[in-house]
Amino acid sequence: MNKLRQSTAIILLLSALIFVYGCSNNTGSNTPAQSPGNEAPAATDTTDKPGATELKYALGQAVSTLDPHLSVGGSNGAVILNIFEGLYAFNSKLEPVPMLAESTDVSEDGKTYTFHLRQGIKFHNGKEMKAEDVAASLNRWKDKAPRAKNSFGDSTFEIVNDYTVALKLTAPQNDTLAQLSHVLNFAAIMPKEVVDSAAPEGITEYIGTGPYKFVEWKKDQYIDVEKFADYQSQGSEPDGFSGKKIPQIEKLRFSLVTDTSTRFNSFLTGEYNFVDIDLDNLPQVEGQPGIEIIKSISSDYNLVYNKKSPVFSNLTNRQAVNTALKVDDILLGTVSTPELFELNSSYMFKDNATWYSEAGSDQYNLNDPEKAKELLKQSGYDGREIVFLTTKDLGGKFYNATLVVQAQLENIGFKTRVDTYDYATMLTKRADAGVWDIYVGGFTVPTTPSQLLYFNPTYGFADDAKLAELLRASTSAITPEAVKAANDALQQYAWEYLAVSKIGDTFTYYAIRDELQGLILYAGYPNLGNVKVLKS
Amino acid sequence: MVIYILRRLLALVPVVLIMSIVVFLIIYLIPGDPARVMLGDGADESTIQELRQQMGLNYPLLEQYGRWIGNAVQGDLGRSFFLQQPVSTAIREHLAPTLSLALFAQFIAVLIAIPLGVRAAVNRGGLADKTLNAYSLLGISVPGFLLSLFFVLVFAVRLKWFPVSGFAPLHEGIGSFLKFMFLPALSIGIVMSSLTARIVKASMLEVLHEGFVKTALSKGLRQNTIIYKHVLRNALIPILTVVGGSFGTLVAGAAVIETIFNIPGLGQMLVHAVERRDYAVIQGMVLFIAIVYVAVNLAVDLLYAVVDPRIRLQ
Repeated sequence: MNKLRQSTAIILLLSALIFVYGCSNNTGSNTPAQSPGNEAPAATDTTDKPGATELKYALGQAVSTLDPHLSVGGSNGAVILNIFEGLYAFNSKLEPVPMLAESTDVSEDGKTYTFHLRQGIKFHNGKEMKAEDVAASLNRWKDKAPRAKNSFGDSTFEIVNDYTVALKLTAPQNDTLAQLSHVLNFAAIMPKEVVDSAAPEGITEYIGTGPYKFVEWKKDQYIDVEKFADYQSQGSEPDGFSGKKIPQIEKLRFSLVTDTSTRFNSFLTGEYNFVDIDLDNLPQVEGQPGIEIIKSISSDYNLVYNKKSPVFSNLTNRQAVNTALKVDDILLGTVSTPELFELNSSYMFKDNATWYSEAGSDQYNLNDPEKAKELLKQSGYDGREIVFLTTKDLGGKFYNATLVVQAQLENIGFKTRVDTYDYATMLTKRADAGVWDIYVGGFTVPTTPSQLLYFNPTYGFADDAKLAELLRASTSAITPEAVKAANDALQQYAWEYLAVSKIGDTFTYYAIRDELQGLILYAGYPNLGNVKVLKS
Repeated sequence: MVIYILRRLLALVPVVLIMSIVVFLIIYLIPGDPARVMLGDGADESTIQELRQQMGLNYPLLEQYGRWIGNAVQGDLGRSFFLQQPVSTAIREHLAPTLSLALFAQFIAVLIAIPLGVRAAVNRGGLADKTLNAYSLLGISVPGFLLSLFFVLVFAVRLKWFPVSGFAPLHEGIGSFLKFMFLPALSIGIVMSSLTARIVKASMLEVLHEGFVKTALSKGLRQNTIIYKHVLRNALIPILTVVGGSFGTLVAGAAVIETIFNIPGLGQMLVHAVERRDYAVIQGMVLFIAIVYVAVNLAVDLLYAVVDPRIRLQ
């Protein structure tokens, strides 16, 4: 018996030692630096050190397609935006800046866009980019991208001459250039042959004009690209996705590492120079020499009402919910720290130079349960159970946000139920108006009002003539003053109609090693066009 | 013997057929639409319908099954829209990492379990026995993923002896292969060995009390010869059963360990396939797993006869 105790004690002691060693924390406790431009730290006297020629970049989600016109999220954009380019590209204020276009003439009535292309631009297959490629690419994009289809209808991109393409619209569309820059359903330019040979599930050859050339895609493992020797850089300073791109590495590998802690541990051992970090892992890298923590905007959270549901087809019920919401608590429940969220009543991020608006903000974050209860009484809510649709996938944040909202609505007298599904099931359920009432989720990169899914009849089933009319007015205004006025009117009315209740904007922490320089990050999308890796 | 093998293989047919029907029904009953997943949030309805048509999802269920099984018997498991390759190719490509992990882990498990179990049985109540008790208790109660996270933290992150994750095929050199494989194989090996060692001990104890052991002892044979040549061999049948069973499980894909160590094996492929409703891959994998189990069981049965000549396969 004594021996048994001895051996048990030895084993327990050994495991305890391993445990303590594994969990010990030998880091300082500095607070993370905030990088307002979401830009990696600038180079600091490193010009004389030799650079490494390879970079590995970890992706957290599988790449589902490399077809820019079809891609709507996940990790796809991280790869696509470094292989392909469009006529325009967003800067850090989400303003469109010419990329493959030299300039664009817009007619006075705002209905005709004439794009003058840059000359001498080479595709990765060596062919020169000409108007036929641009027209073929953009006409396919317009057919494939639901957002573009809504805006441009039957208008097509026409070849004027080898280096000029024109778009004739039936009504002005002031966010045309922004739509050509959007990172979702990216309006990439590719050779006409690639467009012509595309299968319904996507293009089969990944040939663009970007700073990196596609080499190999091992599905669910990695994507290899290499520096494109004939890349013709644009002249202006790098800003967001726009401007100069002069990569200083030869090979770039995007590796899929789905597990958060594996990704983080690989960063700790130096395999990657850059990683997204969980709040739990933050103390391990905070204040470490040679590692900078940056905070970058990730998504805006909205509570989407099903406008066809028996409860929320009634505006007074939507108002009751909106009046009850205390957004600070919801956001805190979502991201776990006040550092990672920001209150914002606008449907656009605050750094969106053209479309951010404070109109309607008096309806935001009301936190008035008593008034909400009164509204419920007025509406004659009959105690019917309302169904929250959510998923624990994508890091579980939607689910966390949903639970806080649920508590706030129970508090004013709603009977509620949360239906949790995996992501694939959730997508299918959400398209069915009969099975849910409220969906709380994060949205990536809102750019212009026409790109907001939830103002659209297919997503949450908004069906309101005035909303549609104001939306139309906001994109057909021509002068900057008229755009601002129309946008304010739209956002003001949107807060009255309540297609959604805006909750707020969230951020993500990233850790970056000093050796990696020139990385620009926006909403999780990296511009790797100017990266340089110093040898440590 | 040959007839026995053929009979067993023939018995595979109804098993696989019934299983394929059940799996087919289950995956079509659970909601979720591969076309919608592939096109992502906010794709428009007409594009989704177009892709569904292209993927053959709009045919009646029976017709879809008929097509699939018809092709499957000819060796064509269909094509994955997500992986853009035939399912059989995908399985083949993902098999190598899984198989090498399974073999390596099994090797570690046997390497620990046999000596430990044997010593524990021979010196019942001795140090080896006590160690076995404590070891197997820990091994059975600590989940493999926790163990692997600790190994990563200690041996990869802190000591930097091994890489955190990844895989290098054997043909790129045994050194890098072992470097990547060691921690995952050790994590699985330890968990597996704790069960196997208990079986080794129990089975050895049973045989140790048999008369032929006394005879051998009185005949003056060396103790090690008796233990390893006579007792262990007679105790092998239950051990083979356990080892075979766990090996089958491993070849079907150790999804959690493969995810933690980012090994592009069958387990990870199956998890991805379920997440995005890649029906062709799910069905192909289930068929494959069924075949692996039957094959492993068959191999174990054949080994019984090798280990114990009294067993006749009929």
